[in-house]
Amino acid sequence: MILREKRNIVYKNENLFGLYYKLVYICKEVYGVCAALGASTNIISISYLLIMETKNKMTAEQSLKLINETIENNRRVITKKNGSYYILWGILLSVISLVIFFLWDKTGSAAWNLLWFSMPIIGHPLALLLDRGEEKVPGSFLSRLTAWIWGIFGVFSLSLALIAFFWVPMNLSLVIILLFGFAECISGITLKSWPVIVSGLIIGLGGAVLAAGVLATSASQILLFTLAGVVLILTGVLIKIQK
Amino acid sequence: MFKKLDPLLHSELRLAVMSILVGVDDADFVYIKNKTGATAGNLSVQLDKLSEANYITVKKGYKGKKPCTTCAVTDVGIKAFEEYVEALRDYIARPDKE
Repeated sequence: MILREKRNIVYKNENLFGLYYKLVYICKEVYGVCAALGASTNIISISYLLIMETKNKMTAEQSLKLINETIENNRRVITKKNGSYYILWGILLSVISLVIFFLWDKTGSAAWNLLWFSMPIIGHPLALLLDRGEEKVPGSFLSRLTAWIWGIFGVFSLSLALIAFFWVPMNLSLVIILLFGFAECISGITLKSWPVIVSGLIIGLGGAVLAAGVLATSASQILLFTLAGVVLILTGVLIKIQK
Repeated sequence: MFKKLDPLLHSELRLAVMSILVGVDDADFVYIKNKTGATAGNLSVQLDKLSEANYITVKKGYKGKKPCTTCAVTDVGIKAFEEYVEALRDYIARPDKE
């Protein structure tokens, strides 16, 4: 009633005050419409978000499947990265052992075995270069464990070589090839890779028997390490192509 | 009575992120993005949610001149993930009671 009266007053008076009240009334009406629109927009937005959240929710089976697949894919990526290192060190082992064999065989001097110390000097910078070239893979317990296994093998081999050269002569090839096979088996177990485990057994045990027997005093025993290098390359390739 | 499923982990992208991070020491943003197939914006939002709940840590740094964001799971996050997996197993083991 009062509003109608006010409206009547506004329409009746055409002066500035009337215009002012007219404008205020229109603004209030417009504001009311906007407020109503705003509320409905909020309701629509919230409903949309709820629908999207519901769509993204999964069943229990789907969740477990996602977890398993993601973890398995991750493990595979890390394992494949290890394949590159097997190939690198396999090539290095094969090349250096062949060089030592030829020089030892030609000159008759076992001192050429000192060239083994060049392996870590050449290998580590190449491994760093390889790291830069490939897709960056995050570190994990698995990759650290594999690195430590081969690191310990390197330390044992180097220490035994120094002991044999300066203190207690021993059949180094027998000991080192056995250690090599052991390290490769353990790596295979951690990487869950049967080719790596089997090749470790063959090289380690087979090589030890040959090094202790027919090849004990000959330069040909170095060829055991060439074979070990070839097996490393093959297992590296197998790991990389494994699906 | 079923165990309650953590709503923060019961989302496809966040669960994928946690599954990646529990298996590694840490992972950078680009690696997580490539493995999950998520867009940068969406992944960033989900990482913030996980970080606010203290499930992951997010470190922003530089590799040379390139900015680099690295994420790692926390002990709280590992525990939440384990509880979530236990709850899922509970659901699957007793389907007749659903």
